[in-house]
Amino acid sequence: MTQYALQQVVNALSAGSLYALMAVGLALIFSILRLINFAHGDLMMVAGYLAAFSLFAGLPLPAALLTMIGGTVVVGLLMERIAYRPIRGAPDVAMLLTSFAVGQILQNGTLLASRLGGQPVQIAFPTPGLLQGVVSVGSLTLSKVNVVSFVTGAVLLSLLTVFVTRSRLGLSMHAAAEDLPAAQLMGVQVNRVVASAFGIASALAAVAGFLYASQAGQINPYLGFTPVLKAFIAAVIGGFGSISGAVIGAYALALLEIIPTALAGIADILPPGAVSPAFHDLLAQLLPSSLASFRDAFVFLFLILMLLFRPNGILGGRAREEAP
Amino acid sequence: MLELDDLHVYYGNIRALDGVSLRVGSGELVALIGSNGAGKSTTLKTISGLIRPSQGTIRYEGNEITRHSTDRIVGLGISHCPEGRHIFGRLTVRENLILGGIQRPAAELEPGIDAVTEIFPRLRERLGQAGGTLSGGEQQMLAIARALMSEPRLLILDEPSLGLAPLMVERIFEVIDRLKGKGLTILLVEQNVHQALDVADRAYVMEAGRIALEGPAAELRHDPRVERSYLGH
Amino acid sequence: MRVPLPARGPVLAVAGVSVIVALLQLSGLAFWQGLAVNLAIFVILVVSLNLASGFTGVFSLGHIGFMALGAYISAILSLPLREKGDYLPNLPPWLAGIHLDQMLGPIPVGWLLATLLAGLLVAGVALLVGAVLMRLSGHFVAVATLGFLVIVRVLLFNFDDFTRGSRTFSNVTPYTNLWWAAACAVLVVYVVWRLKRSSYGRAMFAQRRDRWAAQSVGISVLTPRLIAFVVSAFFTAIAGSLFAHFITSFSPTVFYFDLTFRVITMLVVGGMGSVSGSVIGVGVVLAIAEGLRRVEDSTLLYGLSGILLAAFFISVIIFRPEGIMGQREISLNSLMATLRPWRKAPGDGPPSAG
Repeated sequence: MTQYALQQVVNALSAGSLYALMAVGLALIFSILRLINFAHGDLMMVAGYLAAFSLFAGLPLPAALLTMIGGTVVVGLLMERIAYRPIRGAPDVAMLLTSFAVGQILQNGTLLASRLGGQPVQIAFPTPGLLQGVVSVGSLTLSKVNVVSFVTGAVLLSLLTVFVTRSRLGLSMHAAAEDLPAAQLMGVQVNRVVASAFGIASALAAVAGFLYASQAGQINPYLGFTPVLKAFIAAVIGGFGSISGAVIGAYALALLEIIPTALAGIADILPPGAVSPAFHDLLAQLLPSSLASFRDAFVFLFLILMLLFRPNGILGGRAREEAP
Repeated sequence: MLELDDLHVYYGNIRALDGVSLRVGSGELVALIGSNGAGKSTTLKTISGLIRPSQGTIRYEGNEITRHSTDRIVGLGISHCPEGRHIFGRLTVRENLILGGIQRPAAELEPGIDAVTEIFPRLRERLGQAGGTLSGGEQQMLAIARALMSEPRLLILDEPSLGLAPLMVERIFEVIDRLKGKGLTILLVEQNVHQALDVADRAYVMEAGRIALEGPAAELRHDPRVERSYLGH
Repeated sequence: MRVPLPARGPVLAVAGVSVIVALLQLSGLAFWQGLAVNLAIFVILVVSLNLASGFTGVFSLGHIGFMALGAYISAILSLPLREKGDYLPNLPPWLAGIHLDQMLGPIPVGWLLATLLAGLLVAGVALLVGAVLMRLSGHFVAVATLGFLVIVRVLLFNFDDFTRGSRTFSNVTPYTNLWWAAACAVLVVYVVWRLKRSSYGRAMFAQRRDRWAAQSVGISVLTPRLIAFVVSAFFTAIAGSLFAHFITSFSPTVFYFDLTFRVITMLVVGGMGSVSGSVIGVGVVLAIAEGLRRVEDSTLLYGLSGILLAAFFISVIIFRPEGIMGQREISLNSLMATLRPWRKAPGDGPPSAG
């Protein structure tokens, strides 16, 4: 039983790292622009495709990774310049809807490019040997991808924190996130700050995309939809205000997701005699094993509850007065 | 040094500035006074590039800067301390100051911080504190200090006495006087007409988006219209 | 205080639509008939969404979830008894016995009842959902409603005793024809249009423009929004039933993101807040989509229509965010006035000023 639980926790830590890489990027952009960039998930998808095609073309892994990150950053910067900059200052919903449109363009563009390249809709991802297989730690079996996800996440996010707190660009981002007009008056170059935020977010999304594709073993143009929703939920849990918040939210979400799966198995796991047979039957009836598939619904319900009662995240904090 | 010529600014369909022209000479302290909604802050924001005028020109040291971006205007030596202070509450005092000097080379930042904390010694004690924990008066000092970090040649101050206790207001105006003594050109918007006219060389009175009166501060102080509307005689 | 309307306008509009529908039915051109049904269904969807979001400025991204519920509920209810037994063998007994497939001469009363029931049930769901979500605003309510869409989809996939889960739900009797679709569309357009002109409508628009100001003069912010939300969900569910009994086979994947985006595009292009704008928006986007679909079929460049429609959407948001009509409506009176000079026979004297 504890073995099972530990295994779940390990999976959660790995999933949490992926969510964190994405949530941080989302939170970064939101904090400065008040834009929820739903195309963020599609950046992950694009990264997966770039990596796959680079590897198919025979590039060694480091070169493929660089191509992937570079290409994704370019897409992210273009996205900002073409679709978001012209509507900066528009109502929130307009920007949200635009991000959906951008996502549609990326998805359909990838679909088209895939087809033109003679590929099927869903492509098997060439997971590098490094990430395949498992590693044994004590009585636990950890998949290599999980371990790498966790370590990569930790390293990148630490680097990012250092950058944001120590560098002038990072300081400008903080200022822009807190009070954009005031930051402007200091002489902060807003366009440059926004572009940098998009660049960083895209790079993080690229790494997340690579890890996600490695885990899933396949890529398709629509793979970005669920991750971005999860990333958004993570960011909301964390309060949408800070990097650390987004990270905490991400791991919290990953742990939260264990609950339906764990609950689902409870009726089976409980040792006989622990509860009365009648209660046992009741549990088995109410919590079918397929509860795990309710996971997404459960997570969203949680999101709605959070938005209602704790819009500033688990950590609470100052109520930010909504603009009328 | 600064010339505004026939500025017109619209907020949607509402005309906020209706042909504003004014001048600030080098080394002068010019006050812009008027009631709420007259357009004083709008004028300042237009100078700083936060708002685009639909008509008119702004000239600084002979060059037209009407459609320059804010960061370029700061680079030219104009610094704007906004109404309501707008310090970054979640950042420390030191970080606020660094942001004020964001356009200066890294090496000049520490000496810059030293220089402004000399003018505002209270801030030196609080360098590591979060901006949001400072009192109203201290925040105003921080805002001015922050504006000074970019070593401006023209300082724009928007309602520095807003919401401050009388003792604090005195202090702030002492500082403003001191800065003027150092040769800094200042454009001051103020509700506290008394203090403003005391410290200014010249002044403009704005009403409904236009300049209604102008002249040397000493004269305006005794102008019956100013006395009635703003000085409460 | 209701604003009295000249009866002329609406009557003429209904007459005009009837003529067009009759012509189409008689022509026997199945393709155009199908397109017209599509148009009618989308008009209902977009006008309803306009009511919920465009009028109030509060965006619902989950509305297609109501459509899905309407589709499934009405389809389950209207399945003939025998089909139910074969097709949905695990339905609970009380439901398995219901089969709303009765006909009264040419009129499918059973189906109409099923549709009505579906609409009411979904309206009930919307009341709950709306009461909870209407407190949020801005993009947060948009994302929360997106959550609703996901939840509905997950529920549809999982309660497969009722819905057949991920398998296609087919064997639905094609009750929907052009008359019914057009009639519903006209009805919905009329109701929403009257609503806009009523005091409720004005309250909605007031709180859209300035929530705080509206509250300060005593206009309750929640009630107009909630009413709009529930009514629009009702209509959306009706559209779902029309849809289900038109294409006769579907699965939960149909009622998801692509359809949502399509409807939103139509709404924005037409103008949020304008009922006639919605109708125009549907026409414009369907025309473009249909044209692009032909291009895709002939060039095999699948995905092109998605890209171009999305790019079109972005251009509208950037260059004309209020859409074609903004919040204005086509005034039938001014339309009539411009037509008047033409109706004068030549030689009758100078035409009157328009």
